[in-house]
Amino acid sequence: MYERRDVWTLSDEHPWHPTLEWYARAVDELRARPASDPAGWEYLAAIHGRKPGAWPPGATWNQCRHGSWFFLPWHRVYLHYFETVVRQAVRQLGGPDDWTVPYWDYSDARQPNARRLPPAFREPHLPGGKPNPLFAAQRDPRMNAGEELGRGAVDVGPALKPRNFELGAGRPGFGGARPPAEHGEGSLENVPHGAVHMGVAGPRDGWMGRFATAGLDPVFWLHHANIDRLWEVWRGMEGHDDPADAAWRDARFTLGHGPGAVSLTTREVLDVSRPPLGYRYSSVAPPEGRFAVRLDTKPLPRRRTRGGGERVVPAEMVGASDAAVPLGAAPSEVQFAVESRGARVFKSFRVDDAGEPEVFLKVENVRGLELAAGGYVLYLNLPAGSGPDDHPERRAGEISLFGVREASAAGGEHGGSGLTFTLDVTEVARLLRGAGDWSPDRLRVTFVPVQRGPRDEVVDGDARVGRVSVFQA
Amino acid sequence: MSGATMQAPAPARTAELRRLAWMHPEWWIVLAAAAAWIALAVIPHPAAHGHAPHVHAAHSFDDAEPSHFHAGHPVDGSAVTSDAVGSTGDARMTGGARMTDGVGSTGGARMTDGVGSTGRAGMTGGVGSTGGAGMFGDVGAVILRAVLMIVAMMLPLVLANVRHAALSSLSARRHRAIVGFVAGFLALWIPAQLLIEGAAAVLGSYAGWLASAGVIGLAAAAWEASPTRGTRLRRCHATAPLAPRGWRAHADCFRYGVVTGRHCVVSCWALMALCSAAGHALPVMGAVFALQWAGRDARWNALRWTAAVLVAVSVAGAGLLRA
Repeated sequence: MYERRDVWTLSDEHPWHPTLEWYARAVDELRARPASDPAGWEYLAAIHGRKPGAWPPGATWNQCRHGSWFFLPWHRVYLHYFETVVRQAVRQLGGPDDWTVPYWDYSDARQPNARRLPPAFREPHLPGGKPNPLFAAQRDPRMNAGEELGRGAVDVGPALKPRNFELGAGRPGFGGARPPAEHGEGSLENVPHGAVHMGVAGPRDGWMGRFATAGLDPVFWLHHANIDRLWEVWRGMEGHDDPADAAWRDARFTLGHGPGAVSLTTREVLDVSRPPLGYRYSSVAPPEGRFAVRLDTKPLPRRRTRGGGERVVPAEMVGASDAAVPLGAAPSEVQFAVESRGARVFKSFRVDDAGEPEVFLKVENVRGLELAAGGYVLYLNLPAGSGPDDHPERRAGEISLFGVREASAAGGEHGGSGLTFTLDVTEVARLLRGAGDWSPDRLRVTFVPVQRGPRDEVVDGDARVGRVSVFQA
Repeated sequence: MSGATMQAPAPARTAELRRLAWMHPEWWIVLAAAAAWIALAVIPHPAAHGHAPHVHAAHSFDDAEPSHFHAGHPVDGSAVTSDAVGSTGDARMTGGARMTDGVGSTGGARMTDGVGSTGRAGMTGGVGSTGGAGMFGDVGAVILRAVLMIVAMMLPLVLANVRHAALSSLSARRHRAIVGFVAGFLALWIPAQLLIEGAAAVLGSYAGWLASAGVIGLAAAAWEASPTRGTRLRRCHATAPLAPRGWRAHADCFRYGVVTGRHCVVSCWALMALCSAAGHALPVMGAVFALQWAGRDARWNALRWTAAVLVAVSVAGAGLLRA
């Protein structure tokens, strides 16, 4: 069985641990191959994203699945394909037979450098003076200088919290929404996934910031190995299950063409220890002491459907903004009324009426082609005159704009309606109620930009939120 | 209420129904679509009217029609019904020709003419029908059929959007949101469907129904298989931000219906034209609907275009048998 190990553990053993050294050599080798070669670097990146144009015949390009519940299985198959190609190249170059892609656990509290790029990815040159294949100039220069990702960008607490995999009907979910009927990123896809993409890339033109170029950065694959690992972490937690629906389990993903092509269904990749995958992670323990959130394992109110699957009862929309909210280089806010009493019929669904309702904040139709920041932190009812740093307890969550540009292109593969996020704000709502600051007349949501570009290139961009709404269940 | 209570309290059935209605606010759209299918099945179709034998009809449409059209006078059919058709058909053809000129515009007068030619399409496509006197012989009936077709075949395909409109609205105005959406959707689709019918009729009158059904069938298959269609289909399920209250809420829902309708027309026009060319035969409409329904499921993607070809072939085959 192959073992995928943490890159910072390897780097602590040696900055050029053999796994990283062979990775660098293989990247060099793969870059020399033509774009039409399914085992070439450019082809591998193009599978994820590629603008229409002169594609080699048979190429399975521009396939990446984002903003839906296929995000995790598709990227698992993608990573498996990539790893197989690199392992073969390592063997051909005389390296070990069992090379595996390391994962970058940027959330590891025990590793002081976790939020920095490992040194092997930051140095422009190898010790001998040759260019370092793992280095990319197309990143936020601060990351290449050894600065850290923001704490919020790597916070896995909100990502691991949702009990259900499927997102929709006003409720958050771990894995994403069921297409085409529902739209929305799962909690993991938003943060840390999107946030790390934008943090490494910067808000402008870094490779990691766009679907079509993300795979060109060698650190992309380590990032996705960690996302894949976090899926295993989530599954290992009590009460967390993958969808049972055939529409999800039987979805087939075909990557590459020719003899090396891979064609697998979700069902075939659910157990990573079994062929054709056959790997494990050196750790799939939930991060210790990093859960500010309570892990709730109570079952959701569900109804069985005839197909054997279960449908979660929709949450109720109780308030929404009636105008778009601009997302620029400065904080912006929106205020709207929230209905104090929900529909009567809904009360019969409540899991328990001893506690307060669950409250979800939905950030809908975020669109834009030019971004002022990689992400935004949301605060609820921030008192006038006080800054967000004064009230960390009113922080409702973070949204990452990774993928917004792709999802805003009307003619593109990603729908044109932008991105939609659903955040669980039950704790903040409870706190506001306790403080007597949950007025039915108005809820104020403040968007504070994070991951802004370097100071000398501040732009306001054109990103905006279509609507902010509150759901209750 | 203690613990997880999915069990219904005292008046169990009422509570259960209320729950179902809460979970599926789109329930009445499903009922409307089912009713539209029933109506399409039971309302007398031109093909169901008594008329001359099929052989005769096929002959008159395949052979005599073009000359009739160019000569500008009725087919000299031996049967009385055929004669009557010819005379009405004459005026309609003129209208149909104007329709061709006016493609893209939706002038009321042209539309009426187009409708007339649609009646003709019903006949030409209607496998030897002579429905000039049938209930679809007049404008209102043709519009009614277009409405039924859209409600039966197209609304079920956008149930996700209907749900989005309902679930994104305050609970008190969920159903008003659905009404707004459906109004916008129909406001776009019905004129579009009438244009499609008109165009199919014109093609039928030039080329004969068999050839036109074949051509439209192949065009539909090609469109179904094209990558543009895939991109368009994805846009069908685009969502839109809806204002929560006031006239803006109504306007947003209506606009969302119009926008959805536009994407829907762009992705489904070819198959709807095939229905017209095939004389609105219920099996063809059923097959087209099943095809579109299956196309929503990613697992069926590869089969979609194959099925489209099959529909085209079956229509052509049916035509050959008739001829």
